[in-house]
Amino acid sequence: MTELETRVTEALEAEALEAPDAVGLADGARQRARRRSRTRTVGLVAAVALAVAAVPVAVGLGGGDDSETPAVVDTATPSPTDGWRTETYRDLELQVPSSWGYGNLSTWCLNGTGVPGDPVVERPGGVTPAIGCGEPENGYGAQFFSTALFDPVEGDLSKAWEYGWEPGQVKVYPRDAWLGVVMAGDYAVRVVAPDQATAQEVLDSVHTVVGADGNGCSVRQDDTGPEVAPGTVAVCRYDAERLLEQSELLTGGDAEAAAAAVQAAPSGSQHGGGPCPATPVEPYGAVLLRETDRDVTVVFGSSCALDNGVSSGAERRRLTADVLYWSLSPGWSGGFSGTVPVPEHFRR
Amino acid sequence: MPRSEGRVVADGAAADFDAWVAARGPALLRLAYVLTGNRADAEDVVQEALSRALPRWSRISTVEDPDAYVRRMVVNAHTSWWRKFRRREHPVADPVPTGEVAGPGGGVLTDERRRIWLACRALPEAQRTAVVLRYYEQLEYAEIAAVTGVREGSVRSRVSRGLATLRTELGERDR
Repeated sequence: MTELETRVTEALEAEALEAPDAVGLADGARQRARRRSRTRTVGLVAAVALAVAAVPVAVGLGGGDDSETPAVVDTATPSPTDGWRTETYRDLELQVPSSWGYGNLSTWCLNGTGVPGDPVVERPGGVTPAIGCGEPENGYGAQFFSTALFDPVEGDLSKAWEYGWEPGQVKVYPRDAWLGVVMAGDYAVRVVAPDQATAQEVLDSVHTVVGADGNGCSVRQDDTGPEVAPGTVAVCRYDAERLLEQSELLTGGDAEAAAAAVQAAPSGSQHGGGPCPATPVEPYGAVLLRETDRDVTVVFGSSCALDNGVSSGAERRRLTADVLYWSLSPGWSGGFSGTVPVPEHFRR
Repeated sequence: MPRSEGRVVADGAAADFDAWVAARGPALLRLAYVLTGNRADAEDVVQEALSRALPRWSRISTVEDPDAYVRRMVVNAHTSWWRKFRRREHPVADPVPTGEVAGPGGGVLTDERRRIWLACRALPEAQRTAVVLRYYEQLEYAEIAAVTGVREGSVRSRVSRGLATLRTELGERDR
């Protein structure tokens, strides 16, 4: 420590002794918790009362006779509107404008323009360039993160609010940014958008996936996925825990090219490398390419060559650069073992 | 079983919470005081954090480091308080005392620790939080990043800038 740092430490430690005492702290916390609970209960009762009052009116307006079967609530994930796409991490799904790219909010300056540019979608893990962009500390985008250590502050964070930066403060986000956070179980999404409407539309789209997401990918690798529409290929990337890391829906020419790449892969097992251990040295993930009539599993992350490859049922094929090109959705970042054929470039 | 805020909290968990608060509460209040610079605000911040920890205590008490978990809640509660305060009011900048204290014989002594404290209080909130966690709590940069939810690079930047401001305010070069 420098002398200044030591003096700062000593000064703070000395002043800390002026703190109030802790008498009644636990009881005070209980009282505050009870007050908060009473406030929430009143709000909930009011909401239930409104809902009960609304039902008879809704039935009356529905028309038809009383013997009609009530409409089944559609629980399927709605398809994104034109110009938007579905992004998923684990069981948290949202819609973002198609123009949003991939990356890290904190490395916005890699765009080379000196100002935060197009928003990006950020996921946990992956490779983050070791670069500091100065201020603002983050650009625009949607950031998935774990809630394990996240303590939500009071207030409804799902309603977008304007970033209140003032001169003299550290600029954490772009000055004109609109922010919001939606929490759902173990994960949450933080949205930083250039305008209120976009921020709110993204926030409103966040929901928990039940079963499979809007791209046709199950949250769990071992679950049977929904039917995939003809002419499309769902690209489902799973992590080492066999949970969904990213999903994508290929259509048109892209879907045809992905299917053709799998079909063109040579039959047989992957070869190369030395003897493989009985159990994997490191856990690895997989990509599921889902077509109408089959699911194809692509494994490329094992240090044991024999574990890598393309499989569908009992059929085995070897990895090719083309198969990997379509298996690695934009935004993927990671490494390859020495025996895997690396594509010349990746999809962005 | 005693009831707390509409939910049942087991006797064991309640007693465990009280014991933990008795042991760690004073340290939390000191941290909150150094963060907020104000006794009333320090009590408010810690009460707020503990009131939110209470219903989750059976889970929090089993995490690897409950102290770190609740400390993060205190820091978040401070940040939340700071945001709400700024939205509620637009205070006129208070004149910052010079840190001078009366000396014997009617003279004036400059309490250097007081000057550092006051200069630290005048730092922007994000820098002050980083400086306090670094030099008062003695946390590593990675730990501060985990507590505040920002990247380690940003933490280093905030601490560096905070120190630079303190150095300027104290009118000296670092030795």
